[in-house]
Amino acid sequence: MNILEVNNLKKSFGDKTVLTDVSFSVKENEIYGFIGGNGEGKTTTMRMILGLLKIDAGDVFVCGEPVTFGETKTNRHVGYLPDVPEFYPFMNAREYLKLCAEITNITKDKSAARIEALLELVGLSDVDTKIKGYSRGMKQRLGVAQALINQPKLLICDEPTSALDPKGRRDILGILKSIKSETTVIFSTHILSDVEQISDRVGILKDGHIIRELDLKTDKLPPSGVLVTVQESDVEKLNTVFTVESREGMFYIPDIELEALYKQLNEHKIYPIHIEQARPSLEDVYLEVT
Amino acid sequence: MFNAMFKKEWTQAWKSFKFVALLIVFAILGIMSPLVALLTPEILGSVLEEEMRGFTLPEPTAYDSFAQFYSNLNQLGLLIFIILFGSVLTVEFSRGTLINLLTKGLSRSIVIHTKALFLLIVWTVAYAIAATLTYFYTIFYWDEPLNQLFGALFTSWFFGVFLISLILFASVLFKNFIVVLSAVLVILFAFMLLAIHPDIAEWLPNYIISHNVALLEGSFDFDTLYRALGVTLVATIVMYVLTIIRFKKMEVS
Repeated sequence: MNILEVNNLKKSFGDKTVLTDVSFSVKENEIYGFIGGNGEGKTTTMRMILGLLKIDAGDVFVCGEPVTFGETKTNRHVGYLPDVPEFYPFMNAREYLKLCAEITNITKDKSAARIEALLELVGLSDVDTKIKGYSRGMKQRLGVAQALINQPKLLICDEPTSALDPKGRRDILGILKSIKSETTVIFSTHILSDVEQISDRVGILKDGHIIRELDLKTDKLPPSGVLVTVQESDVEKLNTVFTVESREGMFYIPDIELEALYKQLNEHKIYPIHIEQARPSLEDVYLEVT
Repeated sequence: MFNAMFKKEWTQAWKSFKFVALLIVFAILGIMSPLVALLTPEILGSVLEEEMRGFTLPEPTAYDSFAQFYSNLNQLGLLIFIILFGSVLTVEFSRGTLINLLTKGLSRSIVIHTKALFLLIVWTVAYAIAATLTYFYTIFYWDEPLNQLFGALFTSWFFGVFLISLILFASVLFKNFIVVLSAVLVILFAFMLLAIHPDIAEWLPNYIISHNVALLEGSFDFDTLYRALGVTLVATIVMYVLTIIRFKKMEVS
């Protein structure tokens, strides 16, 4: 079942067209990575899904219900973590989550346990200070907690790791991965290694539309060359016969099939120690298509 | 939802000391008004002793006390209220604090209702403190009859309510507090200019605060204000409804 369906979305701000035709869907319990450079319209797309921005053309469906601009009905299914989550600085984390719980109509007896569980999940259970003293990482963690307060079917995260240090990034990615069984996650980023780590599928947004979608679980990225290790004495010969570059301590020979490689190695009496098919990283794919 | 947001407004006002500050300022204005009226002849007499020789200043009256009250409240009081609380909506836009809550299903009309009720209560409490203090000091020092007291006090309070509606409307139109403040001041200035023409003046909202002391003296009939009161009421309601409509159609980013 599709939790989110985005069909032919268009959006302009004045004369500037941001989205020309964005279509994609996200299945239940999937982590969908939404990739694109700065200003490509990732945040715009997300805020249209949330009904915060007007949809110029196209449809968005959350859990089968149409999203209407300004109306917040479908948001009962959604949790949202903005790129820079903003809170009321005079509150502490518990008070803020209590406010969120009251807004989402969670009963008092259930909200206390839910708040403690979420604070535990994001590692803020021992923090009682006011939010005004929080670091960026702590705000991001609280952002995740508030987004999950209503046990959403769909969690939308806008660049959740972009401003965090390596530990903060790892923690946030860990949290997103850990909630996958209960919640579908869509997160935008330009940090491709983050997407590779946790996503099931990715969509690449460029020039106002999704130019490529990849299923990282089933669609193995097509081979793009071969990685070879040879004896020290054969290195010079290898360099003469092939165009090679160093990669991961081996020699990378681009754009060659294994059969052709075997043939040429044999012809030039080069004896490989190790051969493996090189597959492009998500970064290679991104750079290729953008 | 309403209760949660309403409680948040009060917690914020309390913890930022804005509410307490406003009450203190309005209490001072309430006490100062009769005090200034009482002491002005003495102060003038001592400062301008030479120039005043041969002249006798008239004794201050209860009406001087209320003239001082309205002069303070209708200008300084309202300005302080707007500066302290006029940004309740724009600050949410500029900081982006509403985004988390709107994406949780918080109704946009509830946001406006809570802000409006909060401002209404803050204004009413502050105004009531100032008016009560002025009233009791005035009747303590003077004996003149205070005619149409309720009407005279109501008009200034009602003008404040009109301004609350204007601030909220300007907030959803301009989203920036400095622009909102400027817009409110420009509109009030435009009222003052239009009021030069007597036929137009009696239809303007500021007309209702132009005759407070005359109402108390009994030289002006409250019923004469019905046109301006009607316009103010309609304008307040229309701006409030437009605020909700506009906010529902406003892109939040």
